[in-house]
Amino acid sequence: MNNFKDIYNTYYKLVYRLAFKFLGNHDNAVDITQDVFLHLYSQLKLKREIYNTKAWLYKVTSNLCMSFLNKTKRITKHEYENPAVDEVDNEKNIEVVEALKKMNKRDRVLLTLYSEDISYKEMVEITGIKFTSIGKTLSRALKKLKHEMER
Amino acid sequence: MKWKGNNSKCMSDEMIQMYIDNEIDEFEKAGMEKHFAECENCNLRLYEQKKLIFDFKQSISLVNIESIEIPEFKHEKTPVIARKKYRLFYWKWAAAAAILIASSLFIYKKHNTNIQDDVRYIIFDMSSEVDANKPLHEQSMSIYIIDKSGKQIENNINNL
Ligand SMILES: [Zn+2]
Repeated sequence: MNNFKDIYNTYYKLVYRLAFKFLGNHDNAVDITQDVFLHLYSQLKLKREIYNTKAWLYKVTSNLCMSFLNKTKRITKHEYENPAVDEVDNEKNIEVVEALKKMNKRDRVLLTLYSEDISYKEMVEITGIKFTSIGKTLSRALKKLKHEMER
Repeated sequence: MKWKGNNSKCMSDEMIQMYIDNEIDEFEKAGMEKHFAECENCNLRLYEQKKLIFDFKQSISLVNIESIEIPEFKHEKTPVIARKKYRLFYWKWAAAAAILIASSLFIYKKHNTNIQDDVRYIIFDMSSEVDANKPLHEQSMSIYIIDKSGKQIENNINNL
């Protein structure tokens, strides 16, 4: 499983960051990241083929985060503390994560992935949204988000 | 691709988004650039959308992952016992949950006699969200059952 170790070290921080963007909480992001790689580990152990590792990891991370959020429903503000973010930045981060939470699941996942500079092609792979809908959905979702933040 | 606007050549929001994301082909791109140079309105919309994207990406990307340590990979679920914090505030809910769990576990035991040997801790995690105005069955709650070695064997029995 040398392959696994390489993937783990290469993608750990990216998976963590994506999870943090969804959850706004360091401990939960670490937990989800561990779960994502546990999932990968078992897939590789079963010799299941994964074609695009990065897209696969982002997909599993998004799914696990969204189901975690469905379970915990609301997260109180103080949970957004992150050791790697200063206080002013943390406030801004809270604002955007709070606004994202008010959006529908599709927009929320898409915008979070978008912030990771993922190509449209990869977004299709991760979310299953049609390529021809991505541009329109993003454009609308960004405007909606701005509206939510101004309220 | 559709071209919408007061002027037949004016760009749709979708086109502007795709242009910024560099997701359109070179031929279309050239046509769009020509239009941006001529049309003040579309040029302004381009600028505004760019700003919207910049602000969004900046405010959400505040995590400096360089300072995040990569932990050693563990092949099992992390024991949750060490990290869970208890708040005195929730003791009433915890007590209510304890009775519920004790009774449900009793039923579970009846069906599976091995469970007694495996279970070491049962943890009620009420820390996610408690709204005192709601009845207990609407509270979000996680239950963790930990075996002797500290591994999590059962979790997240939600909304009992
Ligand atoms: Zn125009």
